[in-house]
Amino acid sequence: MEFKRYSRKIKMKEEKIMEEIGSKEKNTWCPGCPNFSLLFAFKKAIAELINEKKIEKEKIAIVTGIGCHGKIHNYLNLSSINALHGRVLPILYGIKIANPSLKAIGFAGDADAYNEGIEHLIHAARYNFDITYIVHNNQTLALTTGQPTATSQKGISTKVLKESVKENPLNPIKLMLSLNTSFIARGFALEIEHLKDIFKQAILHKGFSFVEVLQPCIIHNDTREFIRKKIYKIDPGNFEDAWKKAEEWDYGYENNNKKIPIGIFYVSRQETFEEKYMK
Amino acid sequence: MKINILVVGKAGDGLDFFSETLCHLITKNGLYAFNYRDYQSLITGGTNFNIISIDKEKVFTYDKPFDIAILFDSEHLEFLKDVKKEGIVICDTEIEKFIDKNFRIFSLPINEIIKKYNLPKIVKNTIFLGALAKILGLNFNKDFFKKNVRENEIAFNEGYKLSKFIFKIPKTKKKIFYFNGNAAIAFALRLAKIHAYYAYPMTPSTRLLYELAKTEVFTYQFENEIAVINAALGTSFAGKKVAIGTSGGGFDLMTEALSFAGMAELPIVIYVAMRYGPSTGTPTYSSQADLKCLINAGHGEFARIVLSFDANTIFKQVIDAVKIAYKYRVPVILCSDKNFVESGFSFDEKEIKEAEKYAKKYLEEENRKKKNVEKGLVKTYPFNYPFSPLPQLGKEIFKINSYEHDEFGFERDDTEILIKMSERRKKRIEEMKKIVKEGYKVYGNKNSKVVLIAYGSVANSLIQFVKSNNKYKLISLNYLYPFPSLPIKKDDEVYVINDSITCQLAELIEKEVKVKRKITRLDGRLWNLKDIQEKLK
Repeated sequence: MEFKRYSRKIKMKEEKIMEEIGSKEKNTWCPGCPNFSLLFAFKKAIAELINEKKIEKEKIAIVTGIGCHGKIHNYLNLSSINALHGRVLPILYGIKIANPSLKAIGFAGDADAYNEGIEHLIHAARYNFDITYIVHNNQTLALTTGQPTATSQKGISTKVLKESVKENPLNPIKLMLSLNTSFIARGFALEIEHLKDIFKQAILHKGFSFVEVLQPCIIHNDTREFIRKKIYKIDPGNFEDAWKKAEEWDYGYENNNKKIPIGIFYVSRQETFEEKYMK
Repeated sequence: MKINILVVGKAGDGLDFFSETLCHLITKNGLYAFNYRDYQSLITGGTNFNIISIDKEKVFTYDKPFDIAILFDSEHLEFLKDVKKEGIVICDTEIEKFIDKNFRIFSLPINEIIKKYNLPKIVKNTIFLGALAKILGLNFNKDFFKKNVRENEIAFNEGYKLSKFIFKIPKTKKKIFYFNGNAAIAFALRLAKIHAYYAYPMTPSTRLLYELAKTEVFTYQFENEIAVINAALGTSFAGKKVAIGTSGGGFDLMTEALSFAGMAELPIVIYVAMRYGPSTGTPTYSSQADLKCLINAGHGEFARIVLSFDANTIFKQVIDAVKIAYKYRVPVILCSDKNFVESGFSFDEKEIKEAEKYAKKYLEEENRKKKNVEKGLVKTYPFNYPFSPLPQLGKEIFKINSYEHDEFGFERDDTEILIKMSERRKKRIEEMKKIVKEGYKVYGNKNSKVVLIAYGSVANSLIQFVKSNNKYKLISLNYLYPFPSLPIKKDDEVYVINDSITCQLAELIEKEVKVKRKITRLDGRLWNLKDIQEKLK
């Protein structure tokens, strides 16, 4: 009885925080867009962390890129900067150099992260700033009406080519593993509780936390059903295990035997940029 | 009294060390030094030379022919044509045979000295320095060398021993400080208390990064110029003062984020040291051809300042760049050129003290404003006023946007907000004109009807020129955008001197006054006194 009342009290408090950290802005994402679930999972993660006294609301600094994901800037009642396409990471570096006590969290689309600004992603893993980078991967440039990105599946037809896309998609988990990134995870926007837990661990992890969220675009690249069927949850393992799991899915949808691991692939505590240079 | 000294050799001979050490020695003796550095884009070999001028008053460029030449090898004998007939040549004994006997030759057995004391070959430069110090009659302090003290002292003393007193330079007790152009900028940025400086290496701006890396300013070389400017905007967003530096090509890469700074009203100081030519151009030679680029770069319309300076106004202008950027939340471009920032200048103690005083006053004012913000006397957010101060990230919740936005930073595209925000930006652009107060500095004959107009290294050379030519008035520009209104009368003869093919500076001036002559320079080299005399004949 006591426990029930206590947990209800916590839940109420969290719900109140969730309401506080959400803005009153009109949401213009398409009805049914998995971004709604992603936003919910993020707000829940933040509310829980605030409630657990692990972070403070005012100390959060959000940076967003350009595209559908970037609208999250409008929907959060937290300090944020809606930056240029592809340039989320450098803004995060600058924030942390100015004030290492801030919790700096970036949101980017797959085109931001893997096309326009991929050079920053590679260097961010090397620098290892204590930041969190959340990539909304819908494998398309959605807001600009469905052009291909570096992770678009082979065979997808778009208006930019007479034929379908013939390149193999980039596997960002493998890329980040090859860079020995200190925290690598993949979530699915429609697995809200699971995604929330990944967000929480990523935010609390000391170092560069890379979280890719599979967030299918229901208009231009609706892969929800396939992903829902193929996902299975994993726990972090050693580097070899992580590499094997990363290779299980090639971001394609043509083969029914595929399995899509979601969860934290790899975690390693490494000296952060702040520890290296700002003692 | 002016003495002009040429030192010529190859990259890797240590000419820069020689010249900078010599200039420090000159200023320690209460005299003024100027140092021009001419080098190529290679690590060893080629042709490098420096020209050092010594005077009993401030000196801004060199003159020809040279009184003294130091030859590091026999491959640059053609430089001797610019040495006075009875001039002094200092060289290695081994190359003495190649040199015209009409010069007063001081040859030194470099290899013998090096062998005798088991010294590294590089100390050849210090042996020459010792010889030259005696010729000039400069006093030498025992604690002068900071690095490789033993080798340098032996080498210096050997050179000194084998040389003779020739010039009787009137040494003074004045306290004079020698700065390389980039080092002078670093000094002023530190006075303005910037928190961080980011850059990606690009000649001729790179040395500013070296200078600041030695100090309390947090410096970092990010992956490219795009990262550099965006990181700086992040630092400004988080409430700390930051500057970045580059040259033309790097600045081009930054321009999208420059426009972002304009839209988001984020302050930033961008130092641009111009170099020769479009594209890669010639990294180690100078030009002033990026002016229109600096004024117009970045899509859309937004408030900005383009600031310049000469060797007399450098400290104040650099401090003002930081002050204006953070007071008005605008991007400020600090514009200079290779011939300025890679040359060396001497400053009186008084100038240093004045700069410190000026910075102190600015910082006091800034702190007062910060306290008012903390006390809630000044409203920071929403951004209702054209220059509302930025709230403190970590304490207040606020939003900044690259997208068109309302006063809360939320994304908007409705007619009403677009008009309101466009008008806000228009107001901010117009307000910039009011900031330009001391838009220029006048030198020379203030009543003259013949007016020379220039900025940067060209202005420096002309400052030197008008000292001894009473015919001219010189206007040295402190601001290039918004362009200041100039003290020119209708019947004045206006000459614009600018290191650009099209004389870009004249285009800005012609909007207001008639330009009689456009004098340009196309070879990337520094204007020396002789060049100016010939052009203005």
